[in-house]
Formats: sequence, structure tokens, C-alpha cells
Amino acid sequence: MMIRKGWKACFAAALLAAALLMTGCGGGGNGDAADRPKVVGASLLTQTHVFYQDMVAAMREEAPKHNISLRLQFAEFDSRRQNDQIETFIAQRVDAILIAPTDSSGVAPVIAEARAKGIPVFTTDIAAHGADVVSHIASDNERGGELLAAYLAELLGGEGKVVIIDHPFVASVQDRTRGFERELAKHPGMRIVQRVPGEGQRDKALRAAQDILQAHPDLDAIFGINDDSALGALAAVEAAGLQDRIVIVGFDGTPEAADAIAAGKALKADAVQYPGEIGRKNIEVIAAYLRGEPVPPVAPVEVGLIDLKTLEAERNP
Amino acid sequence: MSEYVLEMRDITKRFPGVLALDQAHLELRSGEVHCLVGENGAGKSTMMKILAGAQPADSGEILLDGAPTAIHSPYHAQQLGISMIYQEFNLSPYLSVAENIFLGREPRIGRSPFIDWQRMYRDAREVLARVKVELDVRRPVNELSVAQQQMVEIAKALSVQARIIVMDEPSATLTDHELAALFALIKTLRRQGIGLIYISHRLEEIFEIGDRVTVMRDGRHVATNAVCDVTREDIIRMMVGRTLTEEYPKEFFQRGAERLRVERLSRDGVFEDVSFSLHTGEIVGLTGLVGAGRTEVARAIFGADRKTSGQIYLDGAPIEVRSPRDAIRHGIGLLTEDRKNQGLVLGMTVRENTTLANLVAVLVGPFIDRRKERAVTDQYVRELQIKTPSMEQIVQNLSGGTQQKVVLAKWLFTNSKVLIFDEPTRGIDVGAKTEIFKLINALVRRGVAVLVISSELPEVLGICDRILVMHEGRLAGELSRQDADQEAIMRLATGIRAAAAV
Amino acid sequence: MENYLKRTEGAYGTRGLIVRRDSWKRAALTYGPLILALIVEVAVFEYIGWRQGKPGFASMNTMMLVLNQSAVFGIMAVGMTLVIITGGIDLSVGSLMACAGVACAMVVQWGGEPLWLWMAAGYAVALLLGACAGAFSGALVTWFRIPPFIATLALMSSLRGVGNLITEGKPISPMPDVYGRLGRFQIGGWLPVSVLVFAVVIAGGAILLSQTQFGRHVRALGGNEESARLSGINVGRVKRRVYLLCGTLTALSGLILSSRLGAGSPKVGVGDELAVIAAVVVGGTSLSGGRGGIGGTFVGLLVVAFLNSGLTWIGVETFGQQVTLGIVILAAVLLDRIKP
Repeated sequence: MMIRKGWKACFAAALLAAALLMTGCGGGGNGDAADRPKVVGASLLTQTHVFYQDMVAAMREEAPKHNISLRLQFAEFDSRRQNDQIETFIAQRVDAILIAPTDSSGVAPVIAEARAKGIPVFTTDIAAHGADVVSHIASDNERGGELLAAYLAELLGGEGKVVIIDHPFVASVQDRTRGFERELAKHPGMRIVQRVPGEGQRDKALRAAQDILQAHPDLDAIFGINDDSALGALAAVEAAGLQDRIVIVGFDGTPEAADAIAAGKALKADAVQYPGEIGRKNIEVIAAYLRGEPVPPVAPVEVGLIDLKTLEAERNP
Repeated sequence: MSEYVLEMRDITKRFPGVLALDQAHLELRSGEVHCLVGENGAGKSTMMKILAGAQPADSGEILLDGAPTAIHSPYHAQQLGISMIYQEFNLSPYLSVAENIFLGREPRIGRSPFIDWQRMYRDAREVLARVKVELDVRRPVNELSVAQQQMVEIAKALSVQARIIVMDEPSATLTDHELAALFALIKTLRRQGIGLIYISHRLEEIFEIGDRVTVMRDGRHVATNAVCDVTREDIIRMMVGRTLTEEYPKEFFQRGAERLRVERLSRDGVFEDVSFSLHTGEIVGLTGLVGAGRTEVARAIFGADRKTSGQIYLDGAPIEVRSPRDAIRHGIGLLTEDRKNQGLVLGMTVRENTTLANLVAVLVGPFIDRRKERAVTDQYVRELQIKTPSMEQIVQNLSGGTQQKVVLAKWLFTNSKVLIFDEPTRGIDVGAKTEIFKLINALVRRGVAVLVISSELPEVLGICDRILVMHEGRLAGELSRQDADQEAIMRLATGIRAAAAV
Repeated sequence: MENYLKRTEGAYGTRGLIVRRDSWKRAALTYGPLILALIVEVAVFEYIGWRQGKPGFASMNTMMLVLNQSAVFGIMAVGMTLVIITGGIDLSVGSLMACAGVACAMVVQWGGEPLWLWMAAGYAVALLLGACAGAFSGALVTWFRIPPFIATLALMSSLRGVGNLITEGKPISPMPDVYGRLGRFQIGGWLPVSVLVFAVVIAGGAILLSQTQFGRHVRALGGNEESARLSGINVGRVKRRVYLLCGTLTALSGLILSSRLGAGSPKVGVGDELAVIAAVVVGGTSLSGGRGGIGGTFVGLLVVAFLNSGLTWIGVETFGQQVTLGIVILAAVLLDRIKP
């Protein structure tokens, strides 16, 4: 059946009106205030992960307290899109730009462009390589490593052989293992016998852990640099029937890892990040800089530790 | 009750420029096989489209069992008990026999949306039993032979309680054995009191299966007779009996040298062993029934289809034609039967279509010289009197005759030495036809060798110097202008002479 | 032709040759609504931006920015327009773009000094890669008669895999500063090199399609492949060249993007094939082939680019942008349907 042209035109007009409504809603004009708020453009990695959702919620809450107007954009893992978003911020002459890079090196040229126009740039969660940023705000991965090392030392009574399932190409992982090593060095009875690459993936970590269990039958502990590594190691340990002899620690505190810890398995503890804290810190650091106060080139955000005790306290208050 | 299950009275139908049906009438008794014959364009198919509700008549009435009835749509016709079985079946190839028979009317379990498969298969078997056909009702129809698919179509017609079944050229694609089965089935249906309208070009079938025969010509009813009262010759005479007028302006030229010769051209399963030659100064006709292989021969000469064997000579020298490109390079052009899908790019302008086959001639470097292109197009628009508001007109918006002239302009611009016209006047009104014939004459005068493929016998007789007739993929004979008449052509085309010789 | 054909009565009737006015009118009818939509779009974003206290969307600066941003899509879209006019589709452009950038970056990084030589080699390798990928699609489509959708879908997946394999999934970086020139350097301080390249490609594509034999053949076979074949056009060869061209232009896009990012990343361009197709379709090119043009694609690109940029400008976030983009694509295509 033919739909008459008039109806089609109406339909098209209605669609356009709907589109305008969408943009109107999204915008939400805030008029002009006497004390003009500082404008911060943020281009973050994604809007679809809980980690970032928590971070963004905290940023939205914190921004008005510092008279900051936030312009949020999300790159959804697309470097081109992130590049375009940052360019738009530069054209809008925002007062500062916050980036969670999709690609640590691919973001460098556009950061350079912003700096050339006199706009300060901050990174959060993921660092940028070869770029001149005012400050990088992220979880204190080194501190996380330290916490885990201290936990292991206590658990094993200061004596034991440890293996790290590593992924040394990532900056944040390097931080984690550096902190871990430094803390462990304080306990002379603790020794790292080997570091094996697991690429942060569960199946590779599983295979690596199986090899390790063959090579070091007297192993006491395994440190997985993220939860997939730790869970891979857990699978290997359980398959070998060594769950009562070997303890594992991980990093990130994903729900799956938390469940394993709560169930009393060989995975005993996890270092966890607090995205809400990162979000608050983002705003605080930027606000401080815009007020003219000095800010550190790296602003670490406290991390925590979960084990059976803390989880039980949290789940059965 | 009326004597007739169906009466179509004084049906008139006018298309732009053509009177397709002129007070035509048809009466069908229940339990008879009524043959409907006539040349292409005599109005048979229009008549049947009106009966099927696919087109409305301008005037006239249709009576079912004596009661005047308006048929609004094909669906309505089906509800009234009128079923059509076309040459191309309306079957869904990957559905089973039973699903096809009950398509759109699937029996369901109660009022639920679920199909009652048991009942559907049982009912399908019952219907097939009525026509004495044994088929696995669960088989997808694309696994069946053409004849079996036809049986499914007929079963489908019966399952909707059809009282009138129209079969359009049902025998065209059947083998002798399958045809015998079809006739047996038709006899079964006749005994069950169903009225059948049987359309066929094969006259011998009429005498084998028909009870009465109606001849149509030029949209009019010519005669209805009991089959036993007429001979083949009578029917042919009634079909073609038209005096030739100035509709066909024939000019005669001195027959010149041989331009194109085709020797033992074959394409497996399509045509076989076709040999003929074209000379300058003459128009050669190629005719035969639909499906005799005329178009296929033309496409093979033009390189549009592969030939299996045979040789083509141009001006006495053998040439190799593997693609239309080759043909065009040798100066051979083909004006296809299907202008819209094969001759023109409908979305392009008159100018763009005119130069399409010879763009090289208007190029300056890699660029098209618009000025030159316009000049060329302008020349042809004037010479051929192409009636278009401008050369920038999209050809889709032009009439059939004008479109045909654009195709002609395209081939004239390639400087063709041989032009093959396939059904050059199909869908073109009478006035424009005469113009096309005059243009063909002018081409012959200029030294172009012309082959005209046509089903319209008066046209072939009117403009050709020699006539080649094909029958089932072979050249059945050649007639000179003096020897040719419509009866002679029809005899060759229907294979009667061959049959008589056996 | 003698007597009959020599008669030259005015077949056009009294209207005569009104070619020029005709083509202007058609151009206005074709692009008018879209250009109008574009102007309205820019005006709306400027107004909302102004209300939010960030004017300047409708400024020269922003125009250049948007043009610069659309250069990457635009160059691909020219090739895609040709492919779609033949009635085909090329889904592999997003992956191919990433591969081309990676290839160039790898060559430059591997080569070292002299930089200019290895830059040239990198560009050559990337463009060659694009041409090969395009030629491969074309061969699949014409010689093996695989539907373009399937052939290029397969290529899309394989090329993405190749990019990830040769880089182990990690971006190739850092690159020397000069590497960023193609995407960032501004001639005379205002005209980005990539915009210049974009303009040249658009103009070249438009001329190719409307003024050359090749372009005429492309449109003819898209409008009716059988007619084109029977008019002596080597349909297969024309199609193969179209895919080859599309592949090469996609590689050029990849080079520009890689230069803008200062890295060869195997992860860029995911889903971009659909964005490019959307821009082409919004520009009035018919997916069923035959109808369309580079001019329309250019306007369509701008409509989509200004939309994306404008939504970012006024602060609409990811989810809102997705919804709005869908609605605008629908509306644009409907607008196209209403045209006489």
C-alpha cells in the first residue's frame, strides 16, 4: 500500500522533532551565572562498565561542590572517537580536559594539541605515554601490591616461596608487581622463585600455573596480577589437588573472585580499587589546579584488600 | 440453473493506445474442456486476467451459474471457485507438497496458532487421490519434476473447491509422457464436472483433449465450434485471417553481398544446428512459437550466451564472438525483446542511454565530452523523431515506442553493420509500429543487414524478404516472401508438416 | 541516413533544449532538502550551545574541525559510494582502515632513518595493502560470484584478525612527530592537510563518477547490469576496479587516522563501515544501486559529522548520541522518499 506523501512528511518531521527533543534533554542549559563555573571536558573510556559508571557518578556528585561544570563524553573504546571528542573540547576552549585513554600512545598527539592551546590535561585510570599531562589520577597499584605481599607474609608466617603470574607489558601491572616485590623484600623468609607470563588471560594463566606446579612442587603462594590470572591459577591448583597447601592472591576484586574468596577456596585475598574514590579525586585534583594550587604529577588513590573476613562482614552485617 | 457455469459477455478493455478486448465473449459449460486459441496479442491473456480478477474490464459482465458477479481480486476469484494455473507456477519451492496445497489456509489445532499437521497431510493425500496422483506430501516441491509441480498446482486448485480451472500453456514444458498424464488428469477433472479453459499454441492438443474451441483475434471473438466440426486449417485461418494494409510499409532494395552467415550454430538443450545467412539490402524474419529458440539464437550470435558449437562469418570471414563486447566491435547489435530489463538503463537519461554502447566516441582523454555527447544525441533525437521533452529526460518516463527509438539510437551510434531486432514492436501502439518499420527500411537502404524476430505473423509477412521459421530449437524451414503466407508459417511453426511427413 | 532520417522536425516540441536549467533544477531537487537539513542542524546546535553558554559551533574554526574529523570517513565514503552504486557493499573498510594504519606505522618504526624514505615506503605499503584487499573483494564478487555482503563480511573479520595478529593486539607507537603531519598539520595555520586531501578525493570522485567513461559505466551497470553487459560494457572489470578503488581510498583514510592518533592501532574503525554506509545512504545513494552521487555523499557526510560533533558540543552522552543518530538516518532517508 502506498502511504501518502503528506503522511511521510509528517512522519519525517515528527522524527526530527523527537531528535531535537533528545538533544534538548541531553543538553540541559544552565544559563549564565555571575561566578562562571570552570568547565571541564572529560572523555572517558566507556559508559558501559560498572567501574566507570561508579567513577562518573562520583564525579557528577563532586563537581558542583567545586563550582565545576562537567562535560562528559565516552569514547567506547574507539580512539578515533576519543580524538574527535577532545578536539571538540579544545574548540570549545574548556578550562581543563580529563581523559581515560582508549590507547595510551594514540592519545598523545591530541594532548599535545590541547597543551599547545594552553589547556591543562589530566588522565585518569589509564596513563598516556609520551604526553605532557598535569597529573595522572589512578588507583595506587603499587600500594595494592604492597598490601597483598604483606597479607601473604602474615598468612605464611613470613616464610614461603611465591610465584607471580605476570603480564609485564602493562604499566599498571608493572606498578603492582613493583609494590609487591618491595614489600616482600622486607620479609627475608619470603622469596619470589619465578615470574611467568599469563597475559592477563585465564586460559594462559591456567597453563602457566600448571607448568609452575610441576617445576616447584614446594610452592607456597601464587600472586595473579589480575583476577583472570588468579582464577586461572586457582583452577590449576584445584585440579592438582593442592588447594590446602597453596594460597593465591589476586587483584581487582571482580564478583567472581569475591565469590571464590567468600567460598573459602585457595584464593584468599584480592586488592580492590575504589572507582568512586578515583572520581572524587579527579575533581579535587583538577579543582585544585584551576585554583592555582600545586598538584602532584601522579595522584594515587587508595586501594583496599578483601579477604574472607571483610567479605563476611560486608555480606552479613 | 444456467446452461453455462461461466459466461463472459461483451468484455471490452482498452489500454492506452490499444483496444485489447472488443466486446469479446466466452461461454463455458461444466464438465467441458474449452480450448482458447489465438495469436500472441489476440486478447486471450487479457481475457483471463479479467476472469481472475487481476484486471477490471472497462465494460461487459461476467455470469457465474447465470448470476452476474463482480470479481474484485484474484483472492475473490479463488473464493468464487475460479483457479488459474500459469506457466510459471505459484509454488513456494522449499515448502512441502502439502504446505503448498494449503498455503494460506493451513488447518490449525482448534483456534490455536499451531498447524494441525496430521490433518493437513491427510487432506493433501485426499486431494491428490482425487486427481489420481501419487506423491509424497512431505516432499519439498523443488524436488519434483515440472509435471509433478503442475499436478500440485491442480491439486491446490481442487482443494479450494474450484469449479473453473484455467490452464495457460500447460503443455509447454512437458515431455510426451508427462503430457499423457496431464491429459488423463484433465479427463478425470472433466468427469467430476469441472469446467476447464485450456490455452495452447499446439493445435494438435486441441483435437486430442478439447470439447469446444474458441478462436480470438485482435481482441474479438471470431468463432466457437465443437472440435469435431473444424479442421486444423480452419482454426489457423480463423486465427490469422486478417488482410494486410499499409500498416507495413515495405520497400524493396537490391539484394547485395552476404553480410552475416551462421553455420551449424548450437547451444545444448536450447537450439541445434541453425544455419542461415543475412545479405545487405534485405530484411530476414525469424519466427516460430514462443519457446522455439529464436531469442536464444540471437543472443548466441550477439555473444550474450555461449554457443556450444557452430561458426559465425562476417563479410565472409570467420569471427569469434565471446561477449557482447566482441559483437559490438564487429558491428553486430541486438535490440532485445525485453527493453526495460535488457535494452535500457531506465534510471538514466536519453543522452546517457544513447551513447552507452559507444562512449569511446565521445571521449576526450578519460573524460566525456558533454558537448559532443549532446550533439550526437540531438542528432538522433531529431532523425528518429524521439518524442522526449529533452535529452535529459529519464527514459523510464517515456512511452514504449519512444524507448524503442532510444535503443535504436544507441545501436545506430555504434555504427552497426548487422542489427537483430527481437520483437521490435512488442508493447508498442500501431502508429509507432509503422514508424519503427520505416526506420528499419531506412537502415536497410544504408546497407545494414537486418534480422527481425517476431511472433506477429502479419508483421513478419509485411516487412520481411525472407522468413526463417523455427520449431523446437531447429530451423523448420525457410520461406521466400512470395511463398509465405500465415498458414504456411503456422504449419512450419507447429511442426504439422513434420508430423504429416512421419 | 537518407530521406527518412534526414527530416529534422523539432522532436523536442517547442520546449527546445533546456538542458542547463534542467540539470540545475535536478541538482536543487536532489540536494536541496539535505542542505536545508544541514543548515537547520547547525543552527539548532548553535542555539542550544549558546543557551548553555558555549557559543561558537557555527564558526569557521568548528567548520574546519568537523571537516577535519569527517576527512577519515569522507575519503572512505567516496569509494563506498561507487561500490554501492554498482549495487554492492563493502563491509571490510573499518578493518582495512586499521590494517593500513598499522602497516604504515610498522614500516616507519622498523625502518628508522632516513625518515622521509620510510614514511614514503609506509604510505606505499599501506596503499598497496588497500588495493590488494579491494582487488580481492572484487575478484570474489565477480569471478566467484560471491554476494558482496558475504565476501566483504568475511574480509572484515579476517583483516581485523590480521591487524591484531601482526601487532599482538597492541598499538604501534610511539611514532616520530612528522608522522602526525598528514592528520594534523595546518597549511597556513588554518587548512589541515587531511581536509585538503579530503577535498581532492571528493572532487576527484565526483569528476570520475560524472565526467568519465568509467563513471558512466559504474552508473549504468548499477542501474541495470544486464543492459550494461548487452551494451558491451565489461561489467566484471568495472566492478573489480570499483572495489580496488574503494580499498585504496580506505587505506588512505587509515593513513590519515593513524597519523592523527600518532600510532598504528589495530583496534580502530570497529563498526565504522556502518557509519560510512549510513552517510552514503543519507546522501541519497540507493542501496539497490544505480542512483546516487558523490555530491550527495558529501552532504550526507556533513549531516552526520555535524550531528556527531554537535551532540558532543552540547554535551549529549553516548547513549543519547546513538539514539539521535538512528533517528536522523531514518528521517533523512524518509526525506529522500518524499522527493518527486
